[in-house]
Amino acid sequence: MTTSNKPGPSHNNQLGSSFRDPAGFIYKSPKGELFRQINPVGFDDFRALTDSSLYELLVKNRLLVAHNIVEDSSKKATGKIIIKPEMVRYISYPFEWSFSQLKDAALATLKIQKLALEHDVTLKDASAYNIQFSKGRPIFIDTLSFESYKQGEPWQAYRQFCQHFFAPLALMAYADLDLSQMLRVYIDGIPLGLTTKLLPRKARIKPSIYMHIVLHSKAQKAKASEHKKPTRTIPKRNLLAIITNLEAAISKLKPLKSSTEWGEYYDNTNYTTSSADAKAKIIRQFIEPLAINSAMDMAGNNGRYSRVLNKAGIFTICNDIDPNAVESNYLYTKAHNEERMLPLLVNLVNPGGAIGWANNEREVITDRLQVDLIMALALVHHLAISNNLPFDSIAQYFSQFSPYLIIEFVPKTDSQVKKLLSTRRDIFSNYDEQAFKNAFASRYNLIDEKIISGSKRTLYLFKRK
Amino acid sequence: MHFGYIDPGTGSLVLQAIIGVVLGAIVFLRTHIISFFGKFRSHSSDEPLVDDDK
Repeated sequence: MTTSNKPGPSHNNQLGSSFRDPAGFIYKSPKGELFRQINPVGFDDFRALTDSSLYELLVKNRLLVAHNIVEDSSKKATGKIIIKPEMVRYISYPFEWSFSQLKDAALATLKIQKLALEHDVTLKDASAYNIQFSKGRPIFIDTLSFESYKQGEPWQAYRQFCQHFFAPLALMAYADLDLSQMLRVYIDGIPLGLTTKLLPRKARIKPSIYMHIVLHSKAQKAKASEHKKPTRTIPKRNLLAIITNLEAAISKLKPLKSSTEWGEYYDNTNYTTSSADAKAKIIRQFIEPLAINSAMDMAGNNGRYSRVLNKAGIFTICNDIDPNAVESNYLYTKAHNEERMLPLLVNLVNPGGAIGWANNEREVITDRLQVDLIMALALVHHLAISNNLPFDSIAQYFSQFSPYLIIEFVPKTDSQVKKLLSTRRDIFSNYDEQAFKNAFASRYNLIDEKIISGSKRTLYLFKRK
Repeated sequence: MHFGYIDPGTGSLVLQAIIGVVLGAIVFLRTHIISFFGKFRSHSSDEPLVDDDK
């Protein structure tokens, strides 16, 4: 959680990302519980959501987080309403999502907007940060995004929707799968002019892309210097037609097929099936006597070993650097209705967060995370050799994540390490098992170690000092 | 109009009005041409609507 000596909103413990809306904000109580305060200017719109059957409908369909009203002094002139929203287990950001996660978040947003309009309510913003993943599915978390719909009004959030969702999805479908990373730089979504330039011609001429991105960008430029108050109205059925068109276009998008370095990792490794099973067995043995409720798998690829944890009832965030692996993992999660798995796209040597105003609107992983265990399987050689990271530095960073650590040491005799060193001079005189153990001993106590049969690798279980 | 929370973008508002007419007309024609040819479809095109009873 952000500390109070960082510049930001004036209210104590108000979240760094929650300052733009005069209708209310999110804050943490001294006990660390999350609450949302609604100010008088937001009462009417809040009631437009809760008094209609829209709230029940969205909550029942798991499209919006439920909340309890803990205080309601709205009858007084300086009153407020405080609600306690349902929590999600881990906050993730749009640049950490695979193609289908972003696509499902987009479709959820549009579905919510359509349902809202049926109740004469509308979303006043369509930021991708309004969506989180909970029990494996996208859910809307900003209860204050809803406001009364006035007949004839265009959609205030249309521009934002196109920048946060349609633009990155189109780029990932037609230009390059990695382009979702532009969302790290463009916190309010990818500019439409830039998106237009990056899309190939065959994409630009598709009717939906042409309308919502290319023409949209032209309209933005054309009206950029105009400062009149807009007065155009649009009948509700035309608004619904636009939203339906966006929905249909996004539904049809597919991620650009490309073979990535780690896309087929678990099919093409130097593990025999029996040593892969041996590794899974050791992990089960390690966790069995411990009270682990939640974990993060630092380089989990398609989630093969994260699922060993899931089977033991552990909620697991499965990070990987490869967009195809994360996509594969997410599609599996969906197909099997898994509720304890959260696949995320993370580059451990350059993770995101600390962006926005005062570098404080979105948090780094270690500030968001609260898990009992992290796993670093088949990873340390990539950090130490490919990224020249000293063992001490790795141990120090990992110790910020969780009390327990399961880590796999991969020696120089292993064929994957030989591959890494095949094109460079071996400057890693310090890369050996003893140096590894010494480095981790300064921050952890060694609980157990087991050699993975059929391989040259060893699994370690550490507990932070 | 009273948009205050975020900047909707003048161009975006104008565009909505224009493409709204085009897309609205297409939806209108589709529903009416379909019923003209006697083909009955309970929902137009392929939008996934949420069922209240789910």
